[in-house]
Amino acid sequence: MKVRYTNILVVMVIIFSMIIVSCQSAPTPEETIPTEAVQLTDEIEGVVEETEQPATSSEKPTIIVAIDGDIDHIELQQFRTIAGYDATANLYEPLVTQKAVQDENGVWIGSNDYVGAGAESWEVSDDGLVYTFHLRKEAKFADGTPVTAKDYYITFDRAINGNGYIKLLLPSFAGVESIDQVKVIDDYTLQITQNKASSLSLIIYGFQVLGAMSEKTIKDHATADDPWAETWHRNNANPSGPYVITSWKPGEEYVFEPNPFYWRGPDYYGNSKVIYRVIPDASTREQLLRAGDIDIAQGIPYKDIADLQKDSNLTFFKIKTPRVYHAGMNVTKKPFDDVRVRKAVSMAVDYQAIVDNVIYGFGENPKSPVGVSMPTHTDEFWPYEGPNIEDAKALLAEAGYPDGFEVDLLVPQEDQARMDAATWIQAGLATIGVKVNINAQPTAQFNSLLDTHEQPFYMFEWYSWGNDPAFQLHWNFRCEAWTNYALYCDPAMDKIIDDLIVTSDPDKREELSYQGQKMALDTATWIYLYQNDWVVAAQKGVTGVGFFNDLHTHFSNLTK
Amino acid sequence: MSAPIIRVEELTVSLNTDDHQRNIIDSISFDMFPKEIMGLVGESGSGKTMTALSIMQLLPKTIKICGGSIWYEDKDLLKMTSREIRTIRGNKIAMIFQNPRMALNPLMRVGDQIARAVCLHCEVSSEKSKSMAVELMSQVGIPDAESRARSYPHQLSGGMAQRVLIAMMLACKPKLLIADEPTTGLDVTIQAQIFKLIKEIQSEIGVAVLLITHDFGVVSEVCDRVGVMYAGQIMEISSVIDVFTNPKHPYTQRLLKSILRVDRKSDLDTNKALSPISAVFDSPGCRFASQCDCVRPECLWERPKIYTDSPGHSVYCFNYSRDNK
Amino acid sequence: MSNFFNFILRRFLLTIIAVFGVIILVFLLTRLLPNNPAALRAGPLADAELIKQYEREMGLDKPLIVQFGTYTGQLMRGDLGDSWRTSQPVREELGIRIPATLELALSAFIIALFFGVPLGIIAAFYSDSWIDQIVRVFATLGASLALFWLALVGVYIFYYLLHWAAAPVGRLTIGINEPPEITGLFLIDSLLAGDIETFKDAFNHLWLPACTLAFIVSAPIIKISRSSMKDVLNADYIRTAKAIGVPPTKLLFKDGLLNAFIPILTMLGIVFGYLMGGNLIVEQVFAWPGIGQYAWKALSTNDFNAVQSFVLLIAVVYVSLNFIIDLIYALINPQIRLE
Ligand SMILES: Nc1ncnc2c1ncn2[C@@H]1O[C@H](COP(=O)(O)OP(=O)(O)OP(=O)(O)O)[C@@H](O)[C@H]1O
Ligand SMILES: [Mg+2]
Repeated sequence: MKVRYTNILVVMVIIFSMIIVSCQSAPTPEETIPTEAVQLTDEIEGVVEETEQPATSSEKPTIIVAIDGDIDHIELQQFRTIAGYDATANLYEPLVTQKAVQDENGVWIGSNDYVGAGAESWEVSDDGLVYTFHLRKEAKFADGTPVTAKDYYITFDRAINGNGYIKLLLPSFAGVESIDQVKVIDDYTLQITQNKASSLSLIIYGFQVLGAMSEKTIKDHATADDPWAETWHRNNANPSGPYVITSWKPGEEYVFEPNPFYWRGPDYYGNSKVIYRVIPDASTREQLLRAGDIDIAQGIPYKDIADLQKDSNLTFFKIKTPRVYHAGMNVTKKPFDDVRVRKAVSMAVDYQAIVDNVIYGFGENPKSPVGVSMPTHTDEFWPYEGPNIEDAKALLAEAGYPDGFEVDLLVPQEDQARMDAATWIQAGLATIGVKVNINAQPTAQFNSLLDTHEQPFYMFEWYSWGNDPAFQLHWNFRCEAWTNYALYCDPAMDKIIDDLIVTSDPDKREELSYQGQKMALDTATWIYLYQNDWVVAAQKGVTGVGFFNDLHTHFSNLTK
Repeated sequence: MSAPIIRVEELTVSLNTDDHQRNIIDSISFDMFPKEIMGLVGESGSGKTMTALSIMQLLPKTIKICGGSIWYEDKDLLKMTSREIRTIRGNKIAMIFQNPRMALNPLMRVGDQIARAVCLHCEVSSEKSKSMAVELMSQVGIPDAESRARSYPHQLSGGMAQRVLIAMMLACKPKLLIADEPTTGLDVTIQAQIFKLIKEIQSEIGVAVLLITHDFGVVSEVCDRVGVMYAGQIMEISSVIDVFTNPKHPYTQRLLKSILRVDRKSDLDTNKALSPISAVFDSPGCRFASQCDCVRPECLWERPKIYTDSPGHSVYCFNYSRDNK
Repeated sequence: MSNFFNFILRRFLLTIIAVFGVIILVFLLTRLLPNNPAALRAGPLADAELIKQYEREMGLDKPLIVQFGTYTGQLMRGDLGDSWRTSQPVREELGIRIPATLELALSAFIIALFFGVPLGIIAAFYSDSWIDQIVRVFATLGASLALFWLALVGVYIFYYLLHWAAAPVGRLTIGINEPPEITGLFLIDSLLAGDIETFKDAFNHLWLPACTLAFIVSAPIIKISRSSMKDVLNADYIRTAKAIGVPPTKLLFKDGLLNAFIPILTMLGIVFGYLMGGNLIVEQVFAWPGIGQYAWKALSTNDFNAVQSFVLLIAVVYVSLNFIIDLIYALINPQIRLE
């Protein structure tokens, strides 16, 4: 029997984006690094206002969210999906957290200021090496046991010595290589001694992957083969954060309910329950939304948004995210080993057409490896103004390719946007005699091919967990970075990245970041394509949608 | 002579194809009398089977009766409802076919198939019907009928299968048995046995038999009367003795000249003098005319009237009817 | 009868051999893929050392034959390995999803069976009449409409416009609890638990995807029923049955259907196997948590163990179906049974 897989593409896009995103990491910068003791209020400003009205009504609503991807699992230090990120971010309480602010559309976004979460306050030594966190005495796990320094200690121990990937972040960005650098001073004091100062430490400590896990729970569920109780934690949790997970049906539904022992208390919550329902098909999500059967839908295709906006019962949250889509050129492979070729190629692309037609105007051209909503972003070094065929041709001829050349462009075939963008590149480059063959591959195959580091020309994207240029530059432009698929290597760039990590002065950091961005653009390693917005559709009246660097939504703010 | 049990009157059967209608049986008439064995001969495609199926009302969907009547007792079979016909079929008129093994349901035990025929028409219990089935089987000469009854068709030889079919058809003692080339595909000794069986049965239970065959040899041994068909028309009907001693119709004469050999089918078919039968179906006159040595002009556009040579010997041919006048 | 048991035994051995062949094939195929599962598991941030470590852990550094031994050893113990995507045992993950697929597949199958076979037979019996024409148009539509489109239109009409079907959010309305698991099939479990509300809810969610699938798969069932019934109705033994005056209904269902059943049965086996593979499109549109989606995710993430197990599962389903069909075939057909 012949089965028609006509619209499998839609599915593939969803899955693809999930995987790609889940494989990437990076934290956030911060304009001001607290170098002295900071006393923090217990409440995040916005949350106070937010909770006032629901707190008065005893019946708080249930919020149903249709998600496009699935949660893989909730093992705090190993999950790989966006949905897994969402979930764990609401289950585990890190030491510090991004201060939440509301943007002009009422969307909650994480700012670059950090406030206490599991820690009430903290001090940093003058040399920037020693972080001392004073924990909140009222904080408790969902089983009612108090959260102590020992619990944070074992969380760090797991992170460094367990099987998770978070250990890849700690040495470079926080100067923590060994668990010996973490000390339990007393039940409510935790001290971390870094082997280098870092401007990114708080971002790292604020990731929920370092949120408190219960030592007792880990010990209870540990086995000889599994000393960190990873197996148990994949679909169970003893949360220290605001929510507990009360229903776990993979591929189907996850139910989150307020953690009765959470230190911020019942007034913190705008809802009595958040239900994540896996609805893989975009048009199904749209119909459910229109019919009012769900409150929030993620992953609505841009091309459908204009139509949905006509429905007066719906509201849309549009959030900028620094996810930079680009076509990378391998600087070690002919003909891209010549910077003139890379520049010529960059000149020939119609950037505006890509923004208009590929992402339907929901976003913009980043014009820099440091995305638009990232601190220190600048488009100052962006040299291109629409297609410039003349100059591009001249440059190509100068590089010894007067008649152009032929090259394969590797694209993940499930990502329709990237497939579309690839055809725009193909069209643009054709005008200067460069013949582009689109090599569309299934995601898994695409990833394997990238990992060979042999691809001359590929469509990729990068999103950093932490909102800081250091992460963006580190993963993509450092000589030895595995994800530096363009194989760009310049010790000067490495130096800039190192300096960005250790420097705390915002002006100096900006200058460093500018240098880095200039180098990236001067060497024309990437063709910058687009940076698309994150759009969430919801029923009118739903509020509290948010987007944080380290998580997507604080469930507690959601209400209707 | 007693009253006929079957009287076929001006039966016309046509095949409708997309572009035209063709009478594959063209206004034939004949009678059958109780307890006689009548042969129906004619070369392949002459309409013998269609004649039989018309009587049984089992014509293929594409083929329709468009004229005439078939009287059984004093009822016209062609005017009966399908329910009424079912009380006649198998009960009063039965038919056995060529390829006996294919004519049995491969998934049913042969005993059950016979018993079913018994049940359908004689009001007996299913137990009884089964023992009657075994009885019938031994009656038609099947050895060890008790165990044979539990066999499936694929376990039987062709001759055995034909005996089973005959037993099935005899289940309720029909008045007329139509046997359409019952021995095709069986080897010669078995053929003889089957014809012997048919004759025995005929004399034992007094059933009339319409025996369709290509073989004048069989006709001479088994039949009392014979009808000769050509291209959907009956050419001559007479007693067997008359046909052999005094054939009237030029076609019959021609046939007799070329036969009297056992492997008759190939003989008839390859007979140089006869062109393909299908070519003559649209003729309004005698369909043998174009092949006939004594053809008259009227043969080409007019159906010959019946000529009765002697009682029971009729010929359809202008050579006689004109002279007769 | 001993012939019959011989036959079963022979078929059974063949089935076992086929399963073993599938195991070898699946094993080799997944090993021959260009992707290194250790590298995939290690993720994009991994270095060569981590990959090496995973290779050792996963036994990928051993010779193929040793790996195969380990693999079959695990299979014997019912261990399908862990999915690297979710780090859960594949057996459990499939175990959760199989009932959803089974319920949908069975419902669609039963609908297709009870519509398709009679429609095909009626069309054969009244062949070339208007009934036949309508049935044929129906079957052609089923064979040519895009499933994705059909599912979406179904949702739009029956859920969005008419509200006859429940919201396409899976097997139950959000907030309704699953019935206590006995068979894993919600319709049956809810009845067993005496929970009419859940039964209704499960039914409201099930009928539309089931009918959508049934519409598509009934096309080949109708076609095969029609054509094999037509052949049978032209067979000599049917003429014989008519000649002894068997009434039409008996003729059709006793003599006809049984004889036409063998080709129909083969098609039914194919259809059921196909449905049990989990239909990705229907599962996507109706958010049905079945194995089709699972397999798709596994495939697109090169989730080695999951893909391998899925292929194995489907192969075993097909092989066992074939075995069962052979048995039924032998039960029906004395020629097989007795020779
Ligand atoms: N099922 C059918 N559909 C259409 N035409 C048929 C069918 N069966 C027979 N015919 C045609 O009807 C005519 C008479 O055929 P019939 O079978 O009666 O001949 P027959 O004398 O029995 O020949 P044979 O000796 O080969 O059995 C022939 O021209 C034949 O082509
Ligand atoms: Mg014949």
